Amino acid sequence: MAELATSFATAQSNVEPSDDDWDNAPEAHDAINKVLAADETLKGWGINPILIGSYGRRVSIRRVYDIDMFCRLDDYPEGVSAQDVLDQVYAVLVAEYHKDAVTLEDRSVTVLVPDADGLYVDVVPARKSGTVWEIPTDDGDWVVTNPVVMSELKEAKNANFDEMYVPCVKLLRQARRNLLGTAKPGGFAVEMALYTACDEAQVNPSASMAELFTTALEGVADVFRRMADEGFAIPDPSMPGEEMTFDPDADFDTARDKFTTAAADAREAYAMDEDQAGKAALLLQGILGSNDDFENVFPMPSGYDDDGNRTTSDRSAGSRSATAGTLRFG
Amino acid sequence: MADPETTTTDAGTDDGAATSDAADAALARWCEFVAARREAFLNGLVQRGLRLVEDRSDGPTSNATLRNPRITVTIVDGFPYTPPKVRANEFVTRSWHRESDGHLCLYAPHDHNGQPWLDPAKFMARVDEWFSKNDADWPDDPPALDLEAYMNLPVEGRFVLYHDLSEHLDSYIQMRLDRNLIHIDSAGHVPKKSRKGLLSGYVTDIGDVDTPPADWNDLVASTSAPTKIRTAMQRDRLDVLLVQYHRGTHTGVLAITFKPTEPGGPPRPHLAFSGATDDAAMRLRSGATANSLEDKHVYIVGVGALGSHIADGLSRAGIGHLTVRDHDIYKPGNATRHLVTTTALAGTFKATAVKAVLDTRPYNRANVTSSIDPLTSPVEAATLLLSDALLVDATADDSVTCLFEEAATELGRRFVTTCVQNEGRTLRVDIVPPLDGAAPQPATTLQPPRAPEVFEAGCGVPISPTAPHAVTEAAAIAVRHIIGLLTDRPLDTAGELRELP
Repeated sequence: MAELATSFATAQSNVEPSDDDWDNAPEAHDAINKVLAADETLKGWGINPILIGSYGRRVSIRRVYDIDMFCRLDDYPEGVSAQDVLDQVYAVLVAEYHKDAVTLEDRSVTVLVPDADGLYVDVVPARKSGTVWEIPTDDGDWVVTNPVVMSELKEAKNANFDEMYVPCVKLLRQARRNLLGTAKPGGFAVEMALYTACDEAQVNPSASMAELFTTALEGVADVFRRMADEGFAIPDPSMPGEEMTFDPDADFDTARDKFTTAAADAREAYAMDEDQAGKAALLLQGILGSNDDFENVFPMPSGYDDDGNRTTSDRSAGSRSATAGTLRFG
Repeated sequence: MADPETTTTDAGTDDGAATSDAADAALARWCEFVAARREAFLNGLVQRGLRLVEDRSDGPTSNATLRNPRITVTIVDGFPYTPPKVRANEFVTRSWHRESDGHLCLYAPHDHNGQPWLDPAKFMARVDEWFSKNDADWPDDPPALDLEAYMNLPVEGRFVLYHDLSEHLDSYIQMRLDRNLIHIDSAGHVPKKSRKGLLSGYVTDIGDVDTPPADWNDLVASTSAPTKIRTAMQRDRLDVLLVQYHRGTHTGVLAITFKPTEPGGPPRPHLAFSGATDDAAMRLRSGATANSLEDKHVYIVGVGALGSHIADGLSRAGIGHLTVRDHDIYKPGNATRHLVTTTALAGTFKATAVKAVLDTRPYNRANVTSSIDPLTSPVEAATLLLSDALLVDATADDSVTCLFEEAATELGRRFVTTCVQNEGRTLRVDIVPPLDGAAPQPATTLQPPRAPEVFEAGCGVPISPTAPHAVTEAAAIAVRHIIGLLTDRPLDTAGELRELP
């Protein structure tokens, strides 16, 4: 089996958010938080923002293009519509960042943060609904969500997988970026498909990263196949009995095909012998592609050229003794 | 694609030093090779269930760390030529096989043959073996005497010399500092008011050590006088503590010194490296025949370059009695090839100088006598041949060698003659007459000289261009044959003739 342990470790490092990402995201969150908190109306509604989304759940990858800000309104008043909230947030942010940088969406307000290397912040207002929260829908209504529990579930899953679930999620998000680009479904759908596959025991929690990545791709491909072909809906683990909904533009047929092919490539790579590690790495490079900083997120193992051919000799066991043999004195 | 096994570069060829670019390329290739070996090892461990939890390796350097429920494996600088470090994830009892920092002692230096840790299966088997033996309390444990490796104390630069401590057990001793060496001066307390450059030492014995002490306090507690030692240390009345310990029939000594770690601070224990100077310690390295040579006598005639190194070799091997004879004077220029290297002995007879040097050598256990008389008397030659001593002729002087040869033949006795010829390209040792009626070795075919003759003031014959290494090489061959004869295990019936190109 081609474990490619060091290459996987490097790939995990290569998809980690950059230092700039780690700096820009919290700074942007703090800046917008201050702007919103200074508004008397929002203050009166009890605004209390937290970071959610992939960045909030610590599963974002390099580069971080956007972060999601969950604006909890702890004292949400009766008679105020979702659109009223969005309009108020939009007005406050336009006053601070100018209307060219602020966009009013159906369910949120998006801000292009100045001096943050093109980082967007998606501000989603939320109101309390019992023990969970509600966010606006496209048609101006409210829908239940529970992002805080989602983070807790991710942590539990990560612990169950001996801290390898989060790295695997990140590698799958990178694979999605490489395979689907800007097309939907996005990284959250991949993450939830993996979560489902793990719950269905399609993924071995005690596997090596090479095997885990392979079975994770297979699991996600299977979930996407069922979504595309059988009308399967991913259960919402944060709200038992609920099902997850994704962007209506999401093309799960394409996602199914791409992830099925990628899973087959990963399986072929994993099945290769160690002395074919270079060829195995080539297949994995095809899955994980590049990002802004690395031409190949998944590096060739040492001792192989860019085409996966061996460049160093393979001294086998038994040829490692000194010329004179053993039991020498000097 | 060139075959990496057969591709040649500038580096290391007869063309001389590699160009900078070629050297960089070669170095990069080498780093890639080392990294590939490491990655193969890591993959092998991952296949065996270990998890790679850290790996920010960069070329030949690595911090890769792997873990399974039982152990944590860390790659260290020097891998793959240095074994990885292994630590148990859960507590394991202290033993001689666990380093003070908790790492398992998996490979002693003599276990490095073939780098067995590079085979992941063998490596994991070694770990399993370690735990099995640890559970069984290490049966058949070899008595390694390296207690200092477990003490985790700061190390100081001075070196403590000691000899048999049995007469000083549980007693104070007076010690003296000579440059960087601390050695035992005499028994007893150092006077409080007049130390006269003396250091205060104390000798104790902690008996058999089944498990190394955890730390300094544990060590002191294991002595018969912990309070006395602690009090003496706190009152700055103890400079050196010598702790004798035992493993089976073997005895080791641990030297602890006391000095402040900061100016004006209280004295703190430090680890000082130490070594025994007694005969037993020297004999350990004299070879397997040392005991057989204790009662043997070798009489060397001619202690110029070759004879002096033969005398030295026999001394190191443990010969009991050595006579060196030469009437020539030692000159400063002899130092290049001779055993004696100090100009201070210039002008003395070579025999006297050799005896003087050997008598000061710590390894010498021989009773060395010297003679500066020329050997010309047929009667004396016969007397020597008839004695119990093995006669060794290293004179390279025909008048002496022929005297011994004819006398030996007539008397039915045997001697050894040795020399270097052909400017150091011919080395020979002749047993005269050969053993068991064997034929003597053929005479050396003399080659045309390759170097012009050179002369030195005060010397009537040319200086031989023989190189020093040829002399020591010939001496080593001669010593090997001499010891073979003395121990009744001759290497050859006639000696040895080595012709070098």
